[in-house]
Amino acid sequence: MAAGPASGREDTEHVLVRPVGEPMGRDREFTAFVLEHRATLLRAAWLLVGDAHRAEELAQQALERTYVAWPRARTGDPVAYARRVLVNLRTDTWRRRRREVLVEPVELVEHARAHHDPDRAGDRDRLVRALATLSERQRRIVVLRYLMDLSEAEVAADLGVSLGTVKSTASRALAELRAALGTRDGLEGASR
Amino acid sequence: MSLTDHEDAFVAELHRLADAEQPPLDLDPASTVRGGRVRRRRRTLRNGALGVLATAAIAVGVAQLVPFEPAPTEPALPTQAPPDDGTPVPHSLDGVALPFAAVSIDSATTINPEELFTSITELPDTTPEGVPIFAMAMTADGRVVVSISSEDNFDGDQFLAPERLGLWSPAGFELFDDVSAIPEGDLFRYSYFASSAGDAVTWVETSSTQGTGLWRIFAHTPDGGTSLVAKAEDGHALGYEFGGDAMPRVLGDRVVWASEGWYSGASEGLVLLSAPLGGSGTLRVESDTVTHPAVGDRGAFFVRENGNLVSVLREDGTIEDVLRYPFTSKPIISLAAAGDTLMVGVHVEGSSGTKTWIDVIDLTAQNVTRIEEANGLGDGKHVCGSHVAWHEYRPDEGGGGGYWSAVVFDPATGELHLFDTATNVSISGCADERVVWRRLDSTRDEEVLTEALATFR
Repeated sequence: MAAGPASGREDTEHVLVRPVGEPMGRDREFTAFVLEHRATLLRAAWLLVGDAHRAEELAQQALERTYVAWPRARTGDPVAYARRVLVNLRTDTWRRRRREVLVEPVELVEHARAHHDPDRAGDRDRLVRALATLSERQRRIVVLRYLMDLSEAEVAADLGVSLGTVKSTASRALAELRAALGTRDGLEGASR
Repeated sequence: MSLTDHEDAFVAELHRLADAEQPPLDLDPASTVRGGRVRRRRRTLRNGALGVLATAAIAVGVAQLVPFEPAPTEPALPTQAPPDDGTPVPHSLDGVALPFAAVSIDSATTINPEELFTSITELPDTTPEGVPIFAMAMTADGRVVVSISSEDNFDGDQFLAPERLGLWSPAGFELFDDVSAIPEGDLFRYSYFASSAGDAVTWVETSSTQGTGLWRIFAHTPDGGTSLVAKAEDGHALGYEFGGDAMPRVLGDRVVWASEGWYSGASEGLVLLSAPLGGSGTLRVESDTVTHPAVGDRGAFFVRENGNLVSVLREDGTIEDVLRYPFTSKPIISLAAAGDTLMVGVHVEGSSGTKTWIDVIDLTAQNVTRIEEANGLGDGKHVCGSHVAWHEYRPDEGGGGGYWSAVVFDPATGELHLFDTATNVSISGCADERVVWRRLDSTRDEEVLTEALATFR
């Protein structure tokens, strides 16, 4: 971040009156981080949930949590940190499993139906509709591996699964996605 | 693995589609800072408050009892002809349909829990040290298996501290051994399922928040020790890679559970596994399955052959087929069992539309009672002595979106009751006629309001 003489003096004053990393420093640094990476995180959220409003809400929640953990997140790869939070919040499986916070019946049915009827939400976008035919795990891995261009190792780290799981799931999921898009929608040239 | 040219082209097309179809998305950095500050402040306040509240929270109250009405005298539901709507009735192995009776979920009567139970005891919110507890299961003698961990244990990325399991009774807490360092090198984990039989308890832990991670299965043995029964990596020696959810059950001196399994990277699906309760024993692949196991007097019930065959794994490791379901479409099935009662939840999509129901099968009498249109999905089903219990979604009459309520059915009388609480009720476990439940925030905001232990009348 560029810092002229005035801002340099301001930083020095902050160091004198409050510990490094406390509110002003944290807020400024975090705001810069959000401005730089919000587009990437919003896109990931949209691909995961398939809805603009929910994607914005998801990214907001993920970034709020990243703010809380900023002293730790900033010491490593803060983008990877925020992305992991976002993917975790997407399913929040551990809370649902642990607490049996029961999801809306329609969500259960949608999950059960996903493999059987790729056209059931015919008014959605083609990609979102095709992604919805995948299982939760397949969808997360496809989004991170192929649409966010992470390495297999990064996907494994983000999801807390083995490299072998990423490899086998990604391969199968990509084939299913190709079938969902290619055969029904005629994805010209892409699969040849 | 490098992408092939075909895959490269397809992935490029996916990117093109994403670029073309992505709607406008926006997020104000200032709002994330404001929200983050609120979360940070809330966390600080909560941490400070827990210790102060500990003493008050440990108080245990026993609900005042409503006068007990005479036991119902209505006969069990009359036997009727099997339905012809594409919802198959279970058959004996020689192809004869079991005697069948049915009741509709819509006939459930709303009842206050106090009318259904002779006693209701609220669990404390926290341990004496102020750490929140969470009911997981129940032992045969009525103690509650609880996990103990802070609400702030998870920061959205990973778990920040270990948690402990133990037992609660009105006499106090008994913590199991700390297993957070076993196996060595693991991240902090949480437990999401526990079950019990006799004096033994088994549970599963994972560090994954995705339901796709590697499970670790532990047991608290009757001698008071704690063992690592198995970890997912144990499958490597058998040519398997295991993952996904596991819901372990005690079966005699072994633990049995189902896991997603990839054999030499080729096959995918659930496999039924078992290992000795005391740990340090051989992990055994027992069968393929489409359900998690449920343990009753005969052994561990599971379903295979795409849902068409109900079998039981006995304590001696032999497998016996029990019933057949002549499905024409592949169903989603969940099981619960106790004694000689088997509860089968079914959700199936066929040419005549979606069907969902619950069958309660008396394996001694060889008959089935069906609750039509009941919620066949999910694993929150329980056989509690003479009753069975599960969850049903109830629309909110005020238009607020609805909630999940507990349903209790007595197959001997045909009585079907729905908790009148207007909040989410989640049954955690039961043993004989005792049941432990959680009452959750009606907004599904994941706050546990109360956890209670009760005994059926």
